Formats: sequence, C-alpha cells, structure tokens
Amino acid sequence: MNRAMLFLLGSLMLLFNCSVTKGQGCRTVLQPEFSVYQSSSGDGYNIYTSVSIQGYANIAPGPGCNMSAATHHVGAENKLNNVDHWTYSANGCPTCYFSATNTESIVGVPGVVYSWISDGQAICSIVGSFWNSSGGGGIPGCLVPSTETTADEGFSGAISRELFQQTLSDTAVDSFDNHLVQEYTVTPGTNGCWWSTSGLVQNPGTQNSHWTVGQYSGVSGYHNQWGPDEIGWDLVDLDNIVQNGSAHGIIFPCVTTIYQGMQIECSANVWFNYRTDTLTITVDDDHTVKACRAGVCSEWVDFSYRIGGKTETQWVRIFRLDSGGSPRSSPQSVPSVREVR
Amino acid sequence: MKRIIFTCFLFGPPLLLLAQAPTKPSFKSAAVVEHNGNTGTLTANFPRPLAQAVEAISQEYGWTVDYEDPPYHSQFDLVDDTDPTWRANHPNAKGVVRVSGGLFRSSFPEPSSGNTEEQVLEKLVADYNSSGNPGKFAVREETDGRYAVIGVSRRDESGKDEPVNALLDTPITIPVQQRDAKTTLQLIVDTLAATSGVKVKLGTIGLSSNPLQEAMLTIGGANVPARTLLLQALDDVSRTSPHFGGIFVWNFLFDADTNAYWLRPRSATKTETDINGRQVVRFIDYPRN
Repeated sequence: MNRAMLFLLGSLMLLFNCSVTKGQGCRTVLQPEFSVYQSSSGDGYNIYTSVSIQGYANIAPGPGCNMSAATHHVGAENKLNNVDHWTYSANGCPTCYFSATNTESIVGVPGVVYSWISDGQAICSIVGSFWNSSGGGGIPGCLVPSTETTADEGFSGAISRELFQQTLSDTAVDSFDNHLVQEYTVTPGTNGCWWSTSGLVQNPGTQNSHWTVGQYSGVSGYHNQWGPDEIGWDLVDLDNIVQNGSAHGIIFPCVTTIYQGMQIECSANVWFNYRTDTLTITVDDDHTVKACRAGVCSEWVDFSYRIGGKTETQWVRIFRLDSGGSPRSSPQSVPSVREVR
Repeated sequence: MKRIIFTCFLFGPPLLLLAQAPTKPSFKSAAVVEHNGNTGTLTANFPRPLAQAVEAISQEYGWTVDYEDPPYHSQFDLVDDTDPTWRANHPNAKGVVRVSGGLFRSSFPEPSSGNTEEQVLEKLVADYNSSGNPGKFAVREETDGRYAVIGVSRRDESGKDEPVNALLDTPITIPVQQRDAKTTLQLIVDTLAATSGVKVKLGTIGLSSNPLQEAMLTIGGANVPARTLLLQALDDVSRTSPHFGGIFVWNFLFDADTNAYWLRPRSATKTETDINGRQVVRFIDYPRN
C-alpha cells in the first residue's frame, strides 16, 4: 500500500465521523438546528444590513464513531455593494450552540440600488460547510416610500384652503417619521381662470414647500403622515375671478391645474423624487370651489359670504345636493350668513 | 333687388360687427432671453411687458427683483379688454380693461464682474422707458443684492407723463407683536390701504401649498415705509418658516378693474441646466445658517 492510498483511506474515515451521510463503518446522524436572521434598514442617509446565524447540531454517532476529532463553528456573511464581510464564531464541539452576527452600513446615494447577499453557514472542521441559508436582494440608496395616500381633511375657512393629509408607506413597513418631504414642479400647469392682467399665474407651479413626516399642523404623533397640504386660492382671488373673469372671457367653471411632484430628503440637500400628482382647483361662478389632490376631491364649497358688503371671515362648508356632476344645482345657503351682493 | 337688400340687412350688421371686433393680441406666456457672445437679448410680449421681462431676467440669472406698477388710469395706458360674447350679453355694463403694453425688446451686456446686475437692470429699464409701452420705471436697490423695478410715472388724460410716488414707500405704523405670517402680511397691506387711501389687496401666496403655514413673525414699527416692513416680513418667513426655505419676490400690480393694487409674492427661481442638458427651473434657497 503506497502513501497515497493510505491518505485516501484516512480521509474517508474522518469524513464518516461528522457527515450527515451515513457511512458503512460509522453511522452518524447529524440534525442541524440553525437559523439565519437578516435585516436591512435605512434612515434616509445610511443603509444598514445585519446577518445573524444561531443554533446547534444534534448528533447521534453510531458505534465506533469517534467525534472528538471534529469541531464546528458558524459564519455570517454580509455582502453589501459587492464587498464581502464574514463574521465567524469560535470553534466548539459539534453539538455546541453557536452564534455569529455581522453588521454593515454604507452611505446610500439616491437613485442607486445596492446589491446585498446574506448567508449563514455551519462549518465542520473536517468536511467544511454542512448547512447554509442565504438571502438578500437590492436595497435602494434612500429610504423611499412606495405609496402615498391622500385624504381630504376638509375646508379651512380661515385660510380658504382645502386641507389634505398624506400617509407614506413601503413594503418593509419602514418608518419615515422625521424625514422631510418637499413639493416640486413637474412641469408648468395650466390656468383656465387666468386673464392677461389678472395678476394670476398663467402656468402655475408649486412653491417648494416642505413638511416633516410624523407631524400634522406642526403636531407630532402622526406616524408616517404629513400635512396638511393646503391647496387653493385665497378669498380675494376667488372673488376677483368670479366678479371679473366672465367679462375677460373666462368660461366657468374654470380649472387650474398644477403638476406637483413629491420628493423625500435622503441626505442634506439630496432629494429623491418618489411620486407625482395632479392638483386641480375648480372655481364656479356661483361662488363655489372644489380642490383635488391625487384624485381625491373635496366637496364643492361655497366660498363667499358677505354681510353689508363686508367679507366675513367665518366660512361655512356647504355640500352640493348632487355630487359634483354638471349641470349642478345652486348650493344650499345658511340662513344666518346669507350672501348679499 | 329687394331680396339682396333683405339679405344685406339680415347678415350685414353681424358681419360688420365681426369686422370691427378687435382681434385678441397674441401675447407670450413668458419672455425669452437669448445669449450671443457678450450680449444678451430679451424679448417680452405682454400687457405688462416690463413685469414679464423682469421675471425672465431674474430667473435667467437667479436675481431677486421686485416689480411695481404705477397706478395706470388713463386711456393712454389702458385698453378695453371686454370679451365680445360677454359684451353682447351685457350691452350696458361697464367693461373691463387691461394695461396697453405689448412687444418689448432689449439688448444688454451680459452680466459679469465689470457689469453688475444693477447696470443690466438699468439698461433694461432705460430701453423700456423709450419703448412707448405704458409707464416709466426706475431701478432701486432695496437691500444688498435685492432690487426693485418701480413705476415712477404714468400718462395722464392728455397723454403727458405724470410722476407718481411708489405706494410701498408710504410710511405706516403697526405695533411690534408676534403674529402668524398671513396675518402680518394682511396687516401691512390693510394699514397701507388705510394710510394711503388706495385699495390694496393681498393675493394668493402658493396654490399647491401654503408656504406661510405655521410661520410666526414678530415685526412692526412706527412710521416705517411699508416696503421695509414687507421686506422684513418676507425675510422672516424665509428665515424661520417650518415649511418654506426659499426667497419671496413680489409683483405689486395695479388693477384698474378693481381700482386696487394687488401684492403678489412668489418664490424666486433660477433656470439651470441639469445633467441631461435640459433647462430646469430651480427655487433659490434662502441661505439659512
């Protein structure tokens, strides 16, 4: 028997010592009890990933199997943006409990999707890896909501604006609280209520207003919500449009359309555009106005009540008898604040 | 023959009316700035061509420039703008007017270290004042790096130039007190109107959102020009507002229909070229520390 043959035989004997497979001379049953936990998160500035492996192996060595020669350990792999990182536990007995965790972070650039591979392995000193579980995926370089829903919160007479409240979400159920969202102009809008010397904007855009997610009207506690987005003309402009628009050729109801984009702050002065919406404000010459955001519309609101020629600051929300179809009936009036013109 | 006369009687007057109806002038929605070496050329076409020009040149170079009308009132500065259909339905009603301006062109040396913003604006206004369009204007530096183009004369009933004072220079008094931004601006406007006897209205600030939302200001003073208080108020909004980090500029427009000045603040913007080579309009941020 030459030296090579001896080496081969020796290797086979060691293999049967700790393999899940059942050797003819050493029947060993190995039952892995490991779990891998992976998580990724972002705070809008950084991407954090974590991979943990925990567990042990049940081993039932058959007669004649000597397990004392083998050791086990576990490893957690965290390969983020093609940079590989491993964390290993110490070596221990084959039935010992092991754990290992690797955490990584990088600064995410908006618009870039970073590759991520997570893996947990249980490794035998003799045969190498005998159990693993992997996962991963692409991680966007900014915490970006996939969905924004809009809810109409009613009309504020004090500022003559329709109030809209928005809720952000994504599939990972992330928290967007304390992030800034900001409007931008996707493309100039149109204004059917405009005439050349009205002073109104012919092609309206946004004002670049921003809001802190988690707050509504400056009050905290609104998880993943922001607002209100206060949309509409001030009373003086509504009055002017209705009183002078027809003579300038305005056809009622006149519609103003704004193309509002929304972006979320990823890092200081770095914004990620996450959606676009169409806003419309429709003014009718029966002194009613209606605002829509992202397909969510207010009721028609009677916008002007005057007593003795003086504009009242108290506004009353009036619901039309019909639901906004055309032609429409006149709005119901409130006896105590009859309009006088 | 009778039939021909009858036909003429039937269709003649409407055809005559059609022939006499003024054709709507074709204004442009924005002025155009073109660059040719060291010379820039601006073309505006609007009832208030200088207002359109100021907005375009400000946006082109990222300048902060306010615009103020003189109070136009004569037929030399205003023309009828009544819609023919409306007029037909309201034959005895008072019609509506617009400022009588139109096409305006100006060439100016491109701004550089040796050719300042103020000099470019002065050239623009000088070209305008000799263009025959309504009103005469002057350039004034309001604060460091912020200018106003102010109407200083209009034409009277005989067509002669008539000097006018800038309404925003009127001294007013409002108590120093903390108020929300909208209330503060409304108080400045109302006090200016009460002091001067001229109707002044505060137009909508922001349609898609309310940039004054939750902004609180503490300003006031005795016998202070309304302009100074207005500058303070808008600067404070930019400096402290939780929802707005831009810079407001204003148009202060006289509307003969309502016989009132309208204050219309808007966000200052600058045209830039993005990484794809497209021209995009960006809001100018207020330099907060």
